[in-house]
Amino acid sequence: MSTVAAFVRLDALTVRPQLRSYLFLLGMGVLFGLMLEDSSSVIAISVVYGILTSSYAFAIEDKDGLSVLYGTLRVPRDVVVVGRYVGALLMFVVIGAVSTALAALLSAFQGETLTATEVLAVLAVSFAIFAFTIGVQFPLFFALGYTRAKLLAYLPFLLVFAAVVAFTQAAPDAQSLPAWLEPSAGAGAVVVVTSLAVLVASCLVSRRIYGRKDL
Amino acid sequence: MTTENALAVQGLTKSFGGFALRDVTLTLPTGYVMGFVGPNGAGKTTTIKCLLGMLRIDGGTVEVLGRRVDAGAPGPADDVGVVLDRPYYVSDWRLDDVESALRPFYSRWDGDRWSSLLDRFELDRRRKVKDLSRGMGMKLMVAAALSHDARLLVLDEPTSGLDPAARDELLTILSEFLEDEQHSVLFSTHITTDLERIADYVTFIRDGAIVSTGTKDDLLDAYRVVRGGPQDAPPPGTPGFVSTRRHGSGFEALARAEAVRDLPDGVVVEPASLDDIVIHVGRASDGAFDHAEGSL
Repeated sequence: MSTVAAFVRLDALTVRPQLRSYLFLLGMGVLFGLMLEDSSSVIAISVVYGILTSSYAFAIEDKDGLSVLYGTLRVPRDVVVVGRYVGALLMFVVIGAVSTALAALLSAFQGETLTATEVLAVLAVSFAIFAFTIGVQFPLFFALGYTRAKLLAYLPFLLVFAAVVAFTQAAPDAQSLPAWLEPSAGAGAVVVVTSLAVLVASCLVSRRIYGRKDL
Repeated sequence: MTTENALAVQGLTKSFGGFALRDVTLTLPTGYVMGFVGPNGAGKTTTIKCLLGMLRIDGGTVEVLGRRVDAGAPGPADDVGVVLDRPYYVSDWRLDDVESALRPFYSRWDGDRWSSLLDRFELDRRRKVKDLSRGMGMKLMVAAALSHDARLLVLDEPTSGLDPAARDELLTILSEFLEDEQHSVLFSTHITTDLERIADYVTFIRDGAIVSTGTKDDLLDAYRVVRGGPQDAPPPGTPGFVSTRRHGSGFEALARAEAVRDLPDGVVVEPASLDDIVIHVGRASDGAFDHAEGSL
């Protein structure tokens, strides 16, 4: 097992005791989907919950002093950083897959049509929000630790929320972003590639910060 | 791989959070136990963090089992076991989770040894880390360290808060560990009675600087406790007297062995314990001790 894979596994074990809360949040996503009568919203809501909980490894690291564990295991700093981003990406993939399956079930239950392009568009926009938020949050967590950074870490959420409100105010008749992306595979691909670039840039910043840090 | 020294620290300097290690130099030969003592805030944990590569050093060199330590760089995890005053695992993990988490990082992890150690220490693998007592937490860390065949154990205040029976058990475990002459221990503590029993070397640190380092026997031979009536108390600045405590019925002092040869009748001179030395050194003014390796 490579060191990065071992670290991703270690992170998964670290947050595993909180699995019940993830399931609860996923259940909440389904409930919202039912209430909104929009099955694709399950995906978006689940991803938002995923973002909220992706910081949990940092929180537990702070609480239980896991930096000492990483030191005794001689996990290189680079591996800690890359492992955190890889773990977050894997979580997005898992949450995306599970929430897509739930959305399909919900659409069948509600008798609505959920097309593949609609799902892909929602996933692309969700990934963009995920990448932007994680991309801002993780360097803050690596620099300051979870406890000191958690208030600042809400900043990207506020920015996304403000952007949505501003967009809605400026163009009340405009389509939603997923609906705008839906007919254009090229635009969706640009969104995904740009989001990945944001994550890579964020990872490089985090490596620089964490590599210099005294634990 | 056999190395002459388990630890070799030369001229280590590190400024960290308003505190500084200054020219820390110590050597632990392979096969021995070094007690690392000093008052709280003296720099013991900071030094240990430098040994583990958790802090980036400002100057000097740190070698562990013959390999240069570079903060944040990969290194062999198997060779060094670490025992702190409390477990550094996820508090919600069960003991089985601890093994699952650690195993991939150690090429020499021995699951059978882990199981037998948990049984020996009467640790229930279904219990959560957060539910362990201090003594059990210490045993858990020892079990982990011994399950990957560590050659060097680094212990940072492992006995603080432990009852005498648990402390005695740890010392027994360490004695067994040391039956292999390639095994070594760095034991940081402020409970010096533990060191009287097992330490071969003792290093004193205070205010971020090494006060003395050498064999325990040399250290104990070098000092005496002197007691006497008020009229016999040495005047301040008496050569060879490290510190003097005056009280209503007289005084008690720690002095170098060569300084107690011509004392007046009625003055009692006794061998010093490590505790005596730590207490008096902690009180002594700067400069009362030599700041050089091998100065004993």
